[in-house]
Amino acid sequence: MKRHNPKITILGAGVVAVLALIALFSLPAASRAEFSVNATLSSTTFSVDDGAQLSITVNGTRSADLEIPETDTSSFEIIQRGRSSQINMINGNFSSAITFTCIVRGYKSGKYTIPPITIKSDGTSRTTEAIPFEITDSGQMGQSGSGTAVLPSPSASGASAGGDAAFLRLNIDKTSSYVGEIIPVEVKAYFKKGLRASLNSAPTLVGDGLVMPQLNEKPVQTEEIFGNSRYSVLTWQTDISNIKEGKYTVHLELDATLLIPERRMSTSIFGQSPFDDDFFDNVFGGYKEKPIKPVSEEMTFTILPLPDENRPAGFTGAIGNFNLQVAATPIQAETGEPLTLTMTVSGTGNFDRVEAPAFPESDQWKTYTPAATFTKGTGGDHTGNKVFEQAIVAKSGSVSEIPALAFSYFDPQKGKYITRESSPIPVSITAKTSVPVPTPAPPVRGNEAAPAATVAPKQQPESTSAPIGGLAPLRLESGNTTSAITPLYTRPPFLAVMAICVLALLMLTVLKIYRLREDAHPEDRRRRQLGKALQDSYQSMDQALAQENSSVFLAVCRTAIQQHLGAIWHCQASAITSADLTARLSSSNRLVEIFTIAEKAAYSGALLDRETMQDYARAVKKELEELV
Amino acid sequence: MKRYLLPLLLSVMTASFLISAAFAGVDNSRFQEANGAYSRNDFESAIAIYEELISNNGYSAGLLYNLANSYAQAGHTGKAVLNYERALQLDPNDPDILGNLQLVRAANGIFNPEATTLEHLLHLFSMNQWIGIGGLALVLLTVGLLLSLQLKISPRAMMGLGIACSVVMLASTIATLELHVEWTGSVVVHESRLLISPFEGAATAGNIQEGRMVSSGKEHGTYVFVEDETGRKGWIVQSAIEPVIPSDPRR
Repeated sequence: MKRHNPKITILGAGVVAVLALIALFSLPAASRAEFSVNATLSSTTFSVDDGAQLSITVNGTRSADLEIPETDTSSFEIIQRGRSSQINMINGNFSSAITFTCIVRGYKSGKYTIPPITIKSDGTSRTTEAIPFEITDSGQMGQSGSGTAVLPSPSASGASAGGDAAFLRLNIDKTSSYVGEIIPVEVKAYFKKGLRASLNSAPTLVGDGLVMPQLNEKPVQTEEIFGNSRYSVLTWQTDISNIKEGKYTVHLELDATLLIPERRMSTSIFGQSPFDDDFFDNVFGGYKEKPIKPVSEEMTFTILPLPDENRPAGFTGAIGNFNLQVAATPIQAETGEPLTLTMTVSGTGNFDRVEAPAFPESDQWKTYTPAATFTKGTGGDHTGNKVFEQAIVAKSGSVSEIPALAFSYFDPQKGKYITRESSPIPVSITAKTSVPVPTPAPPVRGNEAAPAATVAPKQQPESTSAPIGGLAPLRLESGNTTSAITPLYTRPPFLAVMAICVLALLMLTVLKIYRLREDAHPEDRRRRQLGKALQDSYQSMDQALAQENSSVFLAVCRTAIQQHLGAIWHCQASAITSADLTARLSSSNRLVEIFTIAEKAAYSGALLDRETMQDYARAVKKELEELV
Repeated sequence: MKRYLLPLLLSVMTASFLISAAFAGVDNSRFQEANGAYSRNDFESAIAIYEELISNNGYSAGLLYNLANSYAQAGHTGKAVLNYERALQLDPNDPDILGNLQLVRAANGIFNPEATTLEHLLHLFSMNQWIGIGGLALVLLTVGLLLSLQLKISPRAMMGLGIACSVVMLASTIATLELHVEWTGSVVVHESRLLISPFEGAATAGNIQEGRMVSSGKEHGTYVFVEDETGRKGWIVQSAIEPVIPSDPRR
């Protein structure tokens, strides 16, 4: 069996590979003038804001440039999304193809034509054929000034074809209600799945007659299939208040921004770049922002006035369905002692119009303004309970019960006024003769907001209280006056005293720090003291020298020597004698000589001339400074 | 000695002038006239004269107290409480002012939450008294330290003085900060609705009684956000409240 030489096999394979590469790279030159173009649209009919894919295939070249023609962007837009290249080898013949992928996005219904698209390759160009297409009306997407697209909602029945990119819906149980009534509603914003969008505002209600509070709470996010499309849905639960009677048409709208992917610009200096693929567009490509304003379908509401017939006197505008509970504590008291009356109105409705049941006018009771607390229920702002606490004081011991209290409201379901009445609460009041008779309730002045025209006016107590008994008598002297009531810390004398104290404390602190530092280094302090004492001694010596008084001069010299040697030797200065100096200093030290002369002079006297005194002074200074 | 006499005399005269200027008296005849009107139950006339005296002469505890009594008798609870509170700032421990204020508040159902022990301690003195106590402690500490430079005072005694003065100054500072909130408070002079939002027709959070003390916060238009002694908050028209410490000096 003949064996192959491995070196020859590898060499042969290398030659084949090189030939193949030469053939591959020589292909564009061979086919330079042979390329052809073809454009196809995935669907020639599509709805507004839906899109169709435009594919432009260029055969017979490995590099080509596409020129997207200008279009009326208010009608439709051609957006290039990517390109891909393909090389085929069939029976030894190489062929290459480039496919450009574009999206045709429609904005306005109508019949349009994609104009011929020019493709250039190596100096020559080809054009595609024009492609007619139709954008159907079902999507209802229009353009509203400054590039803002308005996206109305699906049809009234809600049976959309599912072609809308974004829209709003207002889910409400009834479209006929009464003035002041609160209606719970559900607001939903639909965004087609896959679209990238950001909200610039929460949905708002546009129209007269009804008011929706600002939606500040975070919406619940879900997914829904609507028509044939899947949507991301944001849901808010809120209420609508009716403020005026009449027939009103309203709709919802919100501001949002659609993020539309953009084709990246090729940055390769060699023309064709391996990164010019769709994949890299998705990863690195940017987005174009397009403001949109989705709206809901218009809804007509009929707001009815509250009936005048059978309207209770105590009706304050409460509409809904409420219950009343009344309790009092304590139920045993003396006259003049306050009782707390707790009135709880619970249920569903417009709690901002719920006022405390009016306490019946009576000479036997003194009443105070009730304080209200509203506790929101789980069903939103229109459910919960409002608790009124009112202080009441029995004026007479003959009182045996707290009278029944009534609360009236309008029930929109039944279409009539309802009055809830509590039972009288038995109480035991004993007379207390020492207590002054309480005064009537405090006033409520006229600066309160006027109640709605449809409700009975709120009870307005009298403008002032009656005189109070038992006040301490007047002052007979006014006393000294001051032009202004000011805090003590702003008065200059106080400030001056405080400033002096603070300054003194600062100085004391600095002094204390200085002393502490000195205490930490006693040698330094002793050296400084010694130096100062030395200077004082020199001064005394110089004075004596100037007076040419040798007795004084020698005495000063002797004292100076004693003081300084005493400090250095840590012994009593006055006990130092010439014998000590002789014993502890060298014999050549002139201090011994001068001290001995001075010691003798102290007993026998001495007379020194000026030169000698000057010589002694210099010697003493020199020797002492050396010792110190 | 003679050469010191003139400066001393001048100093005494200047001090006397300053003191008399700072604490001027009131036209006594008008004051008595107002008291007479009060005695005749002509409270509105009494109020007018007392207000005129305050406007011309400034504030005094006696004037404010009599004015507060007149307002109380005339049924203006808010103004009565306001002027009692002002009088208390000038004469914090006066039993008549304290008693009448308590009586007016109780008669009009202005009951405050039960005060805690700490609040009782805080209200042992007024804000100015607390400031004075703190200042006195500082003076004592300074004098003690200065004396210790010259006199032989035991370190233990100095330590005790230092700790005691520091504790008093700390307590005074805390009390002053706490009471400053009351000092800057206002009194509701007209009963009003507490609104949830600062505009007419907004939902109400209930009524706020005349005579209630409130602390005010941010403002919006003619409305101010207030919180009363019971912790209730809301917007109220600015004209319904008046600050305890008047911002405009009289005279």
